[in-house]
Amino acid sequence: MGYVAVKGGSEAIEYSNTLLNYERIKGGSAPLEIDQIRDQLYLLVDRIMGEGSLYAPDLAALAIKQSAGDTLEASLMVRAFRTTLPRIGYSLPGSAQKMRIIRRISAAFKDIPGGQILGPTSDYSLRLLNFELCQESSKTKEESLRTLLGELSFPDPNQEPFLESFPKVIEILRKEGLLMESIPRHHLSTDHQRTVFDLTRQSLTFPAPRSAQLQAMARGETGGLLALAYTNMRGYGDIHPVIGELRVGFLPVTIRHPYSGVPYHVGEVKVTEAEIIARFVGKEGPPKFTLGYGLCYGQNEIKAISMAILDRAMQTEEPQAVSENQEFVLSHIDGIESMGFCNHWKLPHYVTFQSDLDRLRKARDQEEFIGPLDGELS
Amino acid sequence: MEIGDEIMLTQKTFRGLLQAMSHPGEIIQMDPIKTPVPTSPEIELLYPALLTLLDHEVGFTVIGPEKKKGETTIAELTGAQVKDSTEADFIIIFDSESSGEITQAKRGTLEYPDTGATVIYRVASLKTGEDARPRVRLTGPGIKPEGITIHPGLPSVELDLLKEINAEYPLGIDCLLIDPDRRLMGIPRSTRLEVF
Amino acid sequence: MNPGYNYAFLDEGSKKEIRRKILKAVAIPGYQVPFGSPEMPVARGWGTGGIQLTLSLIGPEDTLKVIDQGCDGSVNAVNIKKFIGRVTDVRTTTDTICATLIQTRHRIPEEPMTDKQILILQVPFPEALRTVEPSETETRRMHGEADYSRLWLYLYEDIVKFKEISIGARYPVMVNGRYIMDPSPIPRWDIPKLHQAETLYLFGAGREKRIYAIPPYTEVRPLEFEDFKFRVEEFHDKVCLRCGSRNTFLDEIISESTGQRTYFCSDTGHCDKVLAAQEGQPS
Repeated sequence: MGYVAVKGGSEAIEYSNTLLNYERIKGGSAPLEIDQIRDQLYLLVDRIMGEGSLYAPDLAALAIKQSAGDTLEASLMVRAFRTTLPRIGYSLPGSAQKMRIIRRISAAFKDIPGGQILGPTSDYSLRLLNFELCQESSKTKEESLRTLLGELSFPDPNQEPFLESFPKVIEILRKEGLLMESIPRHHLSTDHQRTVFDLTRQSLTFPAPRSAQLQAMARGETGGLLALAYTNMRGYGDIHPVIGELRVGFLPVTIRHPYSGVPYHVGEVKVTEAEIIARFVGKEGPPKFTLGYGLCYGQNEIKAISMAILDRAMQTEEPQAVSENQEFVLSHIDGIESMGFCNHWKLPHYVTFQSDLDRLRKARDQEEFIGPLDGELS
Repeated sequence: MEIGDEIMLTQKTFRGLLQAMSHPGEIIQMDPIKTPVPTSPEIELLYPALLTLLDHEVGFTVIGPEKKKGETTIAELTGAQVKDSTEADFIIIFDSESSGEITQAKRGTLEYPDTGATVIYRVASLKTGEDARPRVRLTGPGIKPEGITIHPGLPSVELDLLKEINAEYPLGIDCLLIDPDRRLMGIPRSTRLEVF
Repeated sequence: MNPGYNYAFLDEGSKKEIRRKILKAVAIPGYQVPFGSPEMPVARGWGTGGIQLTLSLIGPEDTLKVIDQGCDGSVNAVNIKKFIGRVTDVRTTTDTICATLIQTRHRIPEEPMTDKQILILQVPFPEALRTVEPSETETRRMHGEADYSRLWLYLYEDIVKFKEISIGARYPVMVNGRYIMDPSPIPRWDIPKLHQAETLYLFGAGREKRIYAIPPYTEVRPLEFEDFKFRVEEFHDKVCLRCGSRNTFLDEIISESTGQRTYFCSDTGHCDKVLAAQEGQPS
């Protein structure tokens, strides 16, 4: 042992990649199809699209397959792919009012215009392992689907007009003049606040404008956001949040046509949107409600709610708790950054360690480190 | 010009710009890049630098004659946004002097001095005989300890303004000088100027 | 080269942004310029900053060397070299003299570099003041106002406690008499190479999204006190077991079998050359 041969490193890497692939394929099971992951692990796909910052269900499914289910690795793969794509332009701002809803609830009011629509959610499910799923076959799957579709009924459009879109619950508060849109950050020029920040092109500097704050969180790691939001919910903060509205659905995406300049609908993306209502007591005027806002790709309610809580927390005028400190939050919620740095400690650090050893020895005023090491290895 | 060519040409140009900025006073020979449509010789001359550095994410302005025309052309060629001198990231000067307008340029802030502008001058000539005036002695980072004496092709009036603007380092502006023979010189704000 | 990707992987827009920032970094030696830092196929913390700088500079006329801890064969250096090679088809070398671009993690090559070369350092912690202040907003202010008293106090307290400045690698330096800079975790041994050098040094922190630079012929002074001067690591009478060098930074290896301490040059490329010269072979 001693000298590290130059050629060894390359072979070692190749074999480590081979072994990684081996671990994934060595079992006797049939290879996973991208369709299967995309359709049946759709919540995982939604999470990876959000953290990967790219709306592309098939690519997210591929990343999940390739990474053998490691969500941080999969998100990194998606981000890296995103970097290679040419930038065509930006979509036009859209309103979530136009969302084609599959789920919509409010905790602030018992009944809301358009109604509470539970939609697909695990919220009220009993978390009992269902062993029948072990026997699921294409046949049983299709039978279930047929039964389910058979149970659907379509309301008579003559009796109940079919709602295309639903008004926002917070409009109720807006109309009463009870809502403050956002707490003004007096130290940022309004210009800075009005242009939309692009985190993938500009580096985040502090204080960051709200669009940067929201974008950073939209790409943030679900667990990290949850942990920080949780600190606020439990008491390291003073928001007293209520969910004004949570929506899951499909948002239309519009761009300006490159030649005619006319707005052009190019498709839709599934998103989760959370608006939380929080308390605000200003220096002047009567108390009002303020909003915390969260929006992310796919159905990821934990993330959207956590975003909304942190969005509001970071607008606190006199930040004290860590969740209220914008720099603290935004510097630590990116899964790709944190995972990379956590992993980087595995890289060789022997030169810096040698440097530290030298310092330690000097400080102990000794030339050789005399200790258990000598004699132990014999 | 093929996309592939553009990639290689801007890479090469950038290495020239980097050499210039990290070796103030040194003269770098640049290669031409043909504009996609015919333009003025002034713009054609500066095009390699403009194509390499400007895009829709930055703002620029032109100081001097044919300002509007220059701005329209450069905006079309690069996608950069036209701004006024107080907001521009890049200031293009075709005539080697700014009639004092350079004092309006962004100098950055103490927290973010890098937001100070970059000025691209087209000068009459960078390489002239011993008797060319004004001559300037440059010292500072990128320059050997004994300094370097050069003729920047800028009038004393302009040099005095640069000295004044860059007197409060790290605030300041950074300059690239290009002459009709495609010679390039860089003078970053870290350079101290002594005008003879 | 993989035809699916742009030359040097990054799209031209990203390269442009990085190039603009590099020029600003060079214009303000030692100051950390924020940049967009798009994701790479390599994880954050594993050299993305250095890679982005290299990819924004590199062209077909370059020759690339990549090292980690001074070693060309280190797994991560090999991986990075492979990636850059894949997206550029560039010539590579392990010989410092032949390289035009050298990307390095935590060491500066032993052989002095010339002004035809550029050294690109990978940086984990761009902020020298982070040891005394966790907030970026506050360290920005401190740099802006050249308010470095807290770092000096930290060093002073070190001396009081340990009779030595206990910082090993990442030793803070004053650049161009204005900015205190983190030279990246290079050993103290390498610090003197930064001062009045012939070559340009570029520093890339991808995860933290900062670029900084030391142009050639720039004043770079390690922080020290009148009565406690900066000192490099001492190897006393140690020599490289392989090539016999007495004047290089040495890696300490403890033999499994004998428990004995042996030393080898950290800069393996240099070690190869010295050895080859001794054996009368071309390197």
